[in-house]
Amino acid sequence: MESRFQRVLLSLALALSLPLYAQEDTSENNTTILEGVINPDIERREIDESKIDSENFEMGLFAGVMSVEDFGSNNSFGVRMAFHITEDWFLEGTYGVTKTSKTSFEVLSGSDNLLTPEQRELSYYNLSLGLNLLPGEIFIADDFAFNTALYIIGGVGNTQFADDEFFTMNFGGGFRIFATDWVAIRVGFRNHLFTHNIFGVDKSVQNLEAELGLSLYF
Amino acid sequence: MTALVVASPTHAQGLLSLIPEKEGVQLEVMAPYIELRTGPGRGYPITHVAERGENLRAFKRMTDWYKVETTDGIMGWVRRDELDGSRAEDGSIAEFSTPDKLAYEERRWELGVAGGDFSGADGVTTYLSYHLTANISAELKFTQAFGEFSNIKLYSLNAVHQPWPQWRVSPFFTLGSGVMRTFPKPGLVETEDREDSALTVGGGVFIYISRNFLGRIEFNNHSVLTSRTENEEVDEWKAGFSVFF
Repeated sequence: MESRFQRVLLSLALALSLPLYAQEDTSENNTTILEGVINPDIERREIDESKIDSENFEMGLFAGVMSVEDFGSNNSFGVRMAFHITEDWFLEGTYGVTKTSKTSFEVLSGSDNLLTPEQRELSYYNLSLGLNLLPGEIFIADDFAFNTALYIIGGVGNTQFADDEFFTMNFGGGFRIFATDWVAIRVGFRNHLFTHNIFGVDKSVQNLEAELGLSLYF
Repeated sequence: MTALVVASPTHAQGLLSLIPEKEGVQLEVMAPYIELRTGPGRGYPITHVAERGENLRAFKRMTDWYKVETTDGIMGWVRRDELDGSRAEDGSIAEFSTPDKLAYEERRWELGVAGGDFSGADGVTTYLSYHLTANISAELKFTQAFGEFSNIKLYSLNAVHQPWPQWRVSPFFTLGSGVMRTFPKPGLVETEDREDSALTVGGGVFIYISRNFLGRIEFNNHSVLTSRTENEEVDEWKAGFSVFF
């Protein structure tokens, strides 16, 4: 009798406690202990890039001085648009204008005008590949640090001058100071090389331009 | 009374915030640690390190760099491959797409510049193309040639067919039409500017270089439909490079 009661009670207790142990077993072993040992397959999913602001394009205005060989140094203005391919390389398109002045010959001889006022307008466009060099920081007073980078650039384009158009190569370099992530101040120098025959014979000219500009990244 | 002492230079970034920022993507760092830099480039100094388990918000991107903000409000730029493998908000592993050969095969927009010989003159071409399918793209081209006696401007619209877009060096064929404007050099007898239609047939190869760069070598034959008795044939060779995005 005693043993039968014992058996019934023991098996009842065992039956009731089993699911508890079983539950503990699954929850402890499978999730916490095993996770440390084997990482279950977690899905790889591409992030939603539309939630992130992409700023690979740059647009800017610049003003400076352009020296057109034989035709004086004059104010120049322009716009530029760039696409930053990597942190190092960028592709830039530039359009600029300047109004040239009289050659020394025209000034000395007094009367002869080589070009009409419209012909004196020089405009150019070019497409260039740039390379950022020496990224770093500059410090102003105690409180501010600005990111900076040097760049070198070169490319090809067109110059319109004296009722004619000339194949133009350009190269140069400059310095960029980032006021914030998306505003940069640029100081640059560019040499525009082309061959013209305004004086009757072919002449290769080097035209230096120094400019100060403001760029926005978007 | 306590005076606020600025111990180290603070970054000027964030002074101007006229454009509202996007909400960004929440990430949990899974790598042992990641480095936050002051700017989007490997040369800028590291100012903070976020360790495994920290939460970040990535909200801005410039080339391969993402700007992140930690829960403490510290901001910095992190390289894409360091963020790759972080845990996203939904528990999945965040994958950051890198421009690679697969992206090249699936490219949509392409912008390029090329230079070469335009029937004896120096020619410069810029083009923008849009890929309608993996094989077919539409291309808007502007070519300028600088000759001894005249300058030429050619505006054209081309269809480009690439039979094997998955090849690293992949040939293509092109057909197009456009307008060719000829500007004789001043001082010559014939000084009238001309405008003619041109039909183009050509071919070449795309060469995938790396990342989002590709090279391109091309030959074009332009048939210029002049108002004179004979049409003009112009052969053009050029080589250049493009970026896709």
